[in-house]
Amino acid sequence: MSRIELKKVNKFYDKVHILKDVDLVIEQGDFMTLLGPSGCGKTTTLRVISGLENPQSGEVIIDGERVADPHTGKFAPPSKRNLNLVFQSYALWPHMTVFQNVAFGLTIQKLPKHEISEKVMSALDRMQIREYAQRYPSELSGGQQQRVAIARAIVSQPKILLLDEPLSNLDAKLRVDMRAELKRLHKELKTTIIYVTHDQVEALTLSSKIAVYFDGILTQCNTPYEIYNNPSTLKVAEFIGNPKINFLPGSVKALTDSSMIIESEFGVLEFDKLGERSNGMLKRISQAADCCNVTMAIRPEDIIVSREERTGYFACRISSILPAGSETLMELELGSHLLMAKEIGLQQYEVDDHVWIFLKQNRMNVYEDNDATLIVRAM
Amino acid sequence: MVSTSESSINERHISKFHLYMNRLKNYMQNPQNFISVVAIVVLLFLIALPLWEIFTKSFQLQYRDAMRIGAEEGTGTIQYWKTAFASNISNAMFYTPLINSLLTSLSVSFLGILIGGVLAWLVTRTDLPMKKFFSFILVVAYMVPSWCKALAWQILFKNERIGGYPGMFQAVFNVAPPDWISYGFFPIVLSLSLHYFVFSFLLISAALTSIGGDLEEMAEITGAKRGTILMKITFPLVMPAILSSFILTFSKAIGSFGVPAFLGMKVNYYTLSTMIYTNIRNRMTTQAYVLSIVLILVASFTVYLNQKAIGKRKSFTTIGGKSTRTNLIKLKRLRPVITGLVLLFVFLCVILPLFVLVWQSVMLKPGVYSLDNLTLHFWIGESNQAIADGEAGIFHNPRIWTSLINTLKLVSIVSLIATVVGLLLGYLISRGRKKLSGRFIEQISFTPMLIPSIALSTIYLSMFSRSHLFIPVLYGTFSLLVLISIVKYLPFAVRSGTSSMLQIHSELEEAAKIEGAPWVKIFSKLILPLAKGGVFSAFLLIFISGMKELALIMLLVTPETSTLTSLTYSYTESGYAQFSNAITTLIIFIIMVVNFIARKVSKADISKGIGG
Repeated sequence: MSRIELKKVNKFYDKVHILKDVDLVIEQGDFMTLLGPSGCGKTTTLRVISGLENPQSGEVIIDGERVADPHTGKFAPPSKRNLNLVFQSYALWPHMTVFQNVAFGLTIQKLPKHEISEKVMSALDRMQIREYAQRYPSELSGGQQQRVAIARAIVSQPKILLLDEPLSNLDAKLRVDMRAELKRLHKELKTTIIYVTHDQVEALTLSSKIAVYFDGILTQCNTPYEIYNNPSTLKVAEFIGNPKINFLPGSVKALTDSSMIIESEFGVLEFDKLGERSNGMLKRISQAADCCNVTMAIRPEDIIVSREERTGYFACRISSILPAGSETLMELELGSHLLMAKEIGLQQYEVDDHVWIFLKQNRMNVYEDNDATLIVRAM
Repeated sequence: MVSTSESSINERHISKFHLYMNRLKNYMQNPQNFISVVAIVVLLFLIALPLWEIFTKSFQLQYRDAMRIGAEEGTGTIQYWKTAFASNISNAMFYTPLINSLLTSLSVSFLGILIGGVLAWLVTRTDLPMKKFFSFILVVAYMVPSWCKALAWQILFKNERIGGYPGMFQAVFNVAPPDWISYGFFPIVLSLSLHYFVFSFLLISAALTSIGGDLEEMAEITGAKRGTILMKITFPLVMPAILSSFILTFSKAIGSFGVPAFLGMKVNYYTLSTMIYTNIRNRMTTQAYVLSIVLILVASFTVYLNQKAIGKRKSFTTIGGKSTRTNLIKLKRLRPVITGLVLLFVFLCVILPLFVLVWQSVMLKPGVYSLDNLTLHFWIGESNQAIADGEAGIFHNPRIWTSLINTLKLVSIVSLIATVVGLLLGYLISRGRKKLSGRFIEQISFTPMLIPSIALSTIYLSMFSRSHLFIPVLYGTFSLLVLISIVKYLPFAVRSGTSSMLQIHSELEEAAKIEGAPWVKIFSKLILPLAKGGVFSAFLLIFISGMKELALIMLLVTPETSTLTSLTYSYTESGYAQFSNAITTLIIFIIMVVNFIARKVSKADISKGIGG
């Protein structure tokens, strides 16, 4: 088994606090994605796990062994952690052939020659680049270099495979192909994969779990489903999803055990089944029921657009239309708010058309404004 | 590693001592840190300590003076500073040489920039023919040691004032040239300018190429005249290059020794560097320290000015990274005239000096310019008591063979070690940019740049004439020459090493670290092969500079450790001009061969070694 555990990890570069009390558990066989905007600490987390950087406090435990323990000043070197890393730049050694690149680690371990060649060839086969074995990295395309980098990382059959934004240097089409490839690789090798990216689509398609970072703080760690459906804070909600989630401000007018009424500038919304949807935080605001300011968050695909007026629908004006073939995005003016709605297929609307929209209240997340945390979950 | 089962951070106890020991172990186990520590200690010993030593020594009574006044050696005194600044010999000893140094260096910088700038503009911006040839031959001018031009000048314009044979001018015209042409300020400035103009030429032409013609074309479109464009657009744009060539030339010229020694000392025209040399020869060592300190301060001040000026204008030089093809300015009717002038210049500053050097080396009697006076004796002759007190020609002369072997040994060892050390330090600097250790190593390895050669050898002379800790007395040994040369070329080696290292992304190293490769393997298998090109050209450039070095080793050689350059100097001193000219020719020949190989085998470029 290869369980990775980070406990209260703190990392500083000079005076800059990069990782702030990061707690993270990665189970055997997970495809864990570290996601966040650039400079949020995701790559640093990866480097701390790999042993290329040492944290100043906290601990890193791999398979029950403390590999980084600033408290006693003991740190296991990267090569003793049974892991390998694919760098963002690929870091292929330009003066070595593909074969030599992949074989380097095995020659360091002083394996017999025939064994090295066997292992290298099988890794190259797995990445479908056998025919390039004698080429130099500069003679390969970006996608092929990427495959070499992965082959080099998996040839020693590490228990943990770390990938640092491996697809960011590829063009759009190749990126989609490599995503499928990585998923296949994860299934075949059954290794634990830790994957760093700032691309949320990559994260959502590939991962079994996602850890979202902001400014060195691990904000939410859960399955892609949970992260998309119930972002734990407004920041996560805003970061995940493209087109962006819509935010609507309001205030709580009435609150019982099972339902809640929220009043906003454009009308009143009623939320039910609170027994299932509340996560305990609701109790806190129930003390001061009718004063609390909240933000409702709804994804564009959860807004139903109608050309006719219906009950429970709100009147809107279309301010902009962005048809994209398989879907149509509309920017709507609801009172003083701008909302983004999405319909499948090409839809025939015109700018300035008047439409009516229905906001699916069971698909909405509600956040309390004071600390931006989730109080009512979407179902 | 400890099992995590039930213990948590707070429950695990560890003594402070063990924690610090573990930390120290971690730190030193990282080879990068280990080498940093070693490098800092060695650099402090070789660079900082000597500086400190001459500074403190300049305030202590030296043995001779202590004996004379009956005090103890080493007693604190400001007598030496007083002698330099305020005594009846201050003028002769300090102020005149200082003024001479400043005047010659300023004139050399001015003249060098004028010549170099005009040539650079002609080569990059006009339709001058034979540009490739000119660029090549002008750089050759830099490869010929500067004191060769002084020797050539002497051959041409020597007069009877210092005795010996007359110069070529007098032989031909039967009129002795006036003193101001033969010796002192004028020939020194001219010889140095004809050497150091190469700095300005290379820097300014690089700047002119990089700023791209579109900026000038834009001005042309607005209707500006050619002269206006030159003054208002081109000139300000290359200003940073002009500034840095000024400072570079100035700091080189003020530290130069060979030229003022050959053309000034005999008529008592002293600069600071020749005065330091004379003081040492007259056993006024501490006085020489005082002058060295002043020389270092002047050199440091100019480099400081340079960094300040360049720092502010850096954004300036990078303007217009895309260089478009410029329409070359047509010289029209002036073209043949200007081409002729440039050719004449090349002839005067490169070909003529070499020619007279060779000619002089095959003259039986110096100063007799007739065909039947020609002989190959000084090259291949056996010892003959009738000629030059029985000194054999250079191919039969054991002294010269020893010196040749010494020189090649010294230069090869120094280039090899300096290159490797430069690479290692460059590695530490490039990987430790954010660390204090990296910045410190960068600063201290740059320091020798501020110390003129003659001052550096003065310092080493004092420091290594007694033993330090485990280091024995090195004075008179070959090792001392190796050591001082390495220190002298360290700034260049480190700069070149750092730029090689910056091109190697640290992820390439980390990828190997993850595979478990030990540091030595990472360095030998990854870093060294990747830095190969830079290493080779740094090696060759240090080799070429080393071949020319005179001032640095002058004071430190003994008859056993003499090099070709020091031998040239002593032959000139004792009046055997033919020998020194033959040896000089040999030096230039070796430099040309090495440069030829460098150009063929790698793309090593002499222009990158500027100031090295």
